Amino acid sequence: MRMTDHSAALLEKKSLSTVRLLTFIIFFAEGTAYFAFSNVGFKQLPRWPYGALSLIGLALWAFTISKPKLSLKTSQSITFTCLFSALAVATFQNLFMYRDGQVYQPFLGHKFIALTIGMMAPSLQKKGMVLISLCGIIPVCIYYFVIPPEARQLVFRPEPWTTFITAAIGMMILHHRISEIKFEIAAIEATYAKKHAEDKASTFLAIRDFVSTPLQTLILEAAILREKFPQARTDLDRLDGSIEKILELRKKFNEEDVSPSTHLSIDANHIIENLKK
Amino acid sequence: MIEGKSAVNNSVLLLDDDSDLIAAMSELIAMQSNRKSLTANSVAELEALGGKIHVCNIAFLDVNLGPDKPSGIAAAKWLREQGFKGKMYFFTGHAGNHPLVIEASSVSGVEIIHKPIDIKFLLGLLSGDAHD
Repeated sequence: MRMTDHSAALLEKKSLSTVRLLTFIIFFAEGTAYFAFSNVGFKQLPRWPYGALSLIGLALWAFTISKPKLSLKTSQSITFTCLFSALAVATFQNLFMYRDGQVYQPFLGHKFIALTIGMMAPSLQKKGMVLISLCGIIPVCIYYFVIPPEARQLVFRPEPWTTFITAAIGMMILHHRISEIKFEIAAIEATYAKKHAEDKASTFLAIRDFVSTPLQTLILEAAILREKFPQARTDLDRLDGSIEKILELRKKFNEEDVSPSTHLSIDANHIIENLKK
Repeated sequence: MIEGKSAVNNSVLLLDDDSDLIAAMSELIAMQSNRKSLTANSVAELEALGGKIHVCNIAFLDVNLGPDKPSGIAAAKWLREQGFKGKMYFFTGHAGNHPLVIEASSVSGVEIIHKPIDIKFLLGLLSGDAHD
């Protein structure tokens, strides 16, 4: 979609707001996981991936907060990196969760990431779709190809399909949000296009009004010269003909009624002064 | 500024901030109808004319006399206050939706004429002929 500077600025602002919130969530959620999982019986679960990602989230959050403005590309890259890292950590940790022999709820991270992308990161578009697909496919693969058959009994039913369906829902939300963003951009573009057209029309009307007096002077002067210099008749006929063409053009302009709004007041002096600047 | 020294009450009063227009109009009026013109570029200049205005029986008043300056509407009001008996026309280059033109249209007894007008129409007004 072709975007003007206004739409690009809006998307940039939205993406910066998203990346700030997302990096904070990553810091907070992974930090919580770091302290929580070992306290609920997962002794063989390595804690360092949670801790590392939490610190990365904190650093990126601090970075985005320190920047009043961030390019769309940078915001999107940080968002993607955070979500991809969170997916990697969630996948890695699921390879260890069954080892303590207790019943557990797997793939929480995958569900969380799929829904987060759908709701928060529509600007990722294709990258977001790939990540959500991975959130749905990886749990199925882990469940059927990585976790030993006897360990599957420990998995809280019904998995991995709950996660798969959650990913499908995340995908639908993402699709909806992408359409919503496109609609929003189209609305912004239409608003600015209308404003631009109104400005142009106002300028044309101002020029039309502004030339009225010089045109009147030309008409009067042509009549005076015709009186003073009858021998210049041919030249004055040409002058009158040209004036007539301008008058015809003005008449058409009036008939077309290019006024952006019948209620809009055109201050020709003000508009012409602005043009001079 | 006064163009000519007419004692007859058939002079023309011209108020416009464009000096070229005023000069051309008064010259043409003199040529075509042998009438003198009394001219002013602003309401202040018009007021300075004082009682001389009574030698005129027709007035062309530009509506917009420049930003932040008293308009032709103020001039019409002043002329009425002075007991001006002649016919008054607002002469404007602006479209009908300009705020001043909207205001001018509410002034009773003063017709609005949109620039540019042709010579026949102008002479018709001067001779008091009916017009569209």
